Amino acid sequence: MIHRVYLDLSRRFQSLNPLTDADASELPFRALNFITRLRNTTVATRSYDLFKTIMESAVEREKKMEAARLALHAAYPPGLETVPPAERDPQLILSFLRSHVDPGVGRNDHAISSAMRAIDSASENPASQSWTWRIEDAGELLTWFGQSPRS
Amino acid sequence: MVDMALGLKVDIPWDNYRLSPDHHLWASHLFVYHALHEPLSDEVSIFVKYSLDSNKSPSDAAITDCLYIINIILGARFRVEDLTRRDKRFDHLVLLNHSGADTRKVLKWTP
Repeated sequence: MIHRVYLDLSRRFQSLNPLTDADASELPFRALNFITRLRNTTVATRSYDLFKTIMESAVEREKKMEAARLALHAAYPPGLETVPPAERDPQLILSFLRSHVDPGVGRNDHAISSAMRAIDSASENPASQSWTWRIEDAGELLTWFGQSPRS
Repeated sequence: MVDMALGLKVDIPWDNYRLSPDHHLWASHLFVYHALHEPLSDEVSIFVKYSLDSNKSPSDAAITDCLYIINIILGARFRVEDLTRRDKRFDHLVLLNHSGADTRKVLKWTP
């Protein structure tokens, strides 16, 4: 049933039109809020897949980030008591991170923690040798953190 | 708990609430049935959040019921027969709450 929920959520986020589906968006958000409370490897893996779908969707930015936060938090929960997904391309996580350290938007420490756990986990994963992580990305991150107000 | 599942406003102190595994399973069955009628009710939402809290260590069976509820929220259609574990006590509650024949037909309820 977990797979069925994530399949349904993935389809919904792919098809959500921010201009016409304002009301319809409540259901996937509510379901996502529930399912991401589970802690197991299946949920972690499927949440990461859903995170990518959400980040590439046409959902309105604020709602997209809200959903992405839930998905990434479930993919890389605090303590990593589950087996985390083997991330290979950090660009979406970096994009997510940028959105949450932007001083003009407002910093979200929970989101930053999830993103950093994802980066940290993938960095230690032998399957992630093909990462396109660049030293410039790390430097850019440090700049963001230096510029971001402490909360 | 029963009143809440039947849609009555009951103030349950969830933060301090501890259900035994058996009680939790029984309650989760109640809320599956409740969700069939009102999937977006606050009561269902509160119960699922409580049940899936990792600190509460819910049983696999209670988690399964919560997954049923999430699927119901997403519009999946279930018949009562689809639920592998039935609690006959709740059949009685369904009868009390929805005594009309139409409800039995929708739920494929068999006395």
